Amino acid sequence: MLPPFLVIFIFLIYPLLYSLYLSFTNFDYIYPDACKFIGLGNYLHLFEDETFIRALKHTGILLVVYYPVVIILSIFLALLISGKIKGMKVARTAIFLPIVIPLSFIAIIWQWMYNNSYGVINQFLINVLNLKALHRNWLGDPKYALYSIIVVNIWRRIPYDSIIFLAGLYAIPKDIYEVAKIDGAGFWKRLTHITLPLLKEALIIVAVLEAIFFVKIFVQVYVMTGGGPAESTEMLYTYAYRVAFRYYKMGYAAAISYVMTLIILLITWTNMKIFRTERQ
Amino acid sequence: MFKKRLSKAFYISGLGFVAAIFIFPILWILLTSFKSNVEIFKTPITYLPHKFTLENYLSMFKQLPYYIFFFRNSTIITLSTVILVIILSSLGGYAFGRLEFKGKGLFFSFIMAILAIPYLVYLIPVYMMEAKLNILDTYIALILPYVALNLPFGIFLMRGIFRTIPSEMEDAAKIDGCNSFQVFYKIMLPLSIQGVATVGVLTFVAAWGEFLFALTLMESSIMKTLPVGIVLLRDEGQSWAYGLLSAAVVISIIPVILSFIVLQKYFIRGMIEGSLKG
Repeated sequence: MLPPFLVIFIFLIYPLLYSLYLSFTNFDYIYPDACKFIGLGNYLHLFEDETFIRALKHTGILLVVYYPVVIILSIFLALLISGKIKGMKVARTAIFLPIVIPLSFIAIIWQWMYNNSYGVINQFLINVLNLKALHRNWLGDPKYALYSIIVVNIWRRIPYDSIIFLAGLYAIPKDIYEVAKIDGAGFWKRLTHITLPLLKEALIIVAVLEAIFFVKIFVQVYVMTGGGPAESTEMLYTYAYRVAFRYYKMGYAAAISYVMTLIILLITWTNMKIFRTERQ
Repeated sequence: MFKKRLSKAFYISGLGFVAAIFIFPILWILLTSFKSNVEIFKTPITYLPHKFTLENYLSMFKQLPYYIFFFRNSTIITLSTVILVIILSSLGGYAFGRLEFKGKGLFFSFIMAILAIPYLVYLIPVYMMEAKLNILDTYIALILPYVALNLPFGIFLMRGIFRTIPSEMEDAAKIDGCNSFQVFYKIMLPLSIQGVATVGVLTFVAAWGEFLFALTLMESSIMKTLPVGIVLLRDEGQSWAYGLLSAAVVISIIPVILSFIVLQKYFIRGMIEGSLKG
């Protein structure tokens, strides 16, 4: 019974602790001999690192824009696909399919759709909707690049989250709705008084999973914009990766990674706190 | 009655519209792959191919000579990972679900929590380790970390399966003279085939698409896997090759699409189980 735990130990637990140690050193892969213990040096340096602060701001934008939107839309999608009609199976397959497409292919497909001249999005706006004024260089303009990436992530994550909400919906006993209908409760009343309160467990799960997801956004940005233009889409993860494997400052990169972990914990903890107090 | 029918029509068209939004990008790359490069770079663009052509698929392997290596690497690495994860997570799940030992609750929540941490934390020491052992740029360099990354969830899922199998069956086998290992592979494993399918399909999808480790641990072009290789092809081709690139994307995602369509039930169940208890 040993082999599985040995693999986990060598490739997960040992690296986890070793990185933690590295984050307190100035370890540079090019000059390993100059490695020195510097205490909280890396963590303190983050406060004056402009790129880090910019990436942190972008994470904040995701928290305010991406996070609530993706959760709300997932609930609506779950409601939409919870009905029992002919063709639902086909619709669900179409909706869930993007979940299994690897992110780097998703990024390449969307980058092509966002293309300034030949992309289907701009072409559709100009030629079909006749809205020439809405033509944008979606990924090339620092004003819009981050939001264009947010749209891709929303598109990508809604199906995933809606599966969890769907499982939550199925767990609600049907007779509650029957009683409410007899009492004359309309769609909105049933939604806000029965469905949403009973989806709370699913909501907590999605909130935690999404926090884990959006703080660690990497592949989409790395492939579509590389963090540009002008660092307008730089993320904590893309920056940490560059620090580790372009500049080889692995101690500092480890520190950024651990700060990301702290942010995830903080958001998770806040969620738990909000939902716990509401429950009492 | 009329009102009810109207609302149903409204519902169906809403559902159709939403489904179209989600499937569109995949449909779009498929349509693009059947257009010639001349048609792709013409405005206003065409939606359905004016002249349906297979030229991108036919010339792809000649014009993108590395593609076949990317595909081979992805296949070897993914299949090896899936097989190893199935074997090891069955063993680990059995140990957790059946055998009693101290501190397993704590250890268990620990191995689930480590998946929330940015993988860069694991990648940096693994890179240094593999550089020292001189195994960067080999299949094993990627297979071993992939196994490790997919094992915690696999163990978790298999543990859930093993716990649903009544222990009377196990006891009966023991009375008949089976030892622990025989009980495991003669009684437990055949009963847990659904769990194996779930772990298998989830690991397959994860390994086929993994980017970060593949980007870093495979240094020469010829050893890259598809998710990283496709970016390489894009950078080389710049704008001229979107026809070829689309065909390459389509072929690269067919394995995961097929596995999803065939094993959809297991895939979704695994996702729900993982999120509800994890």
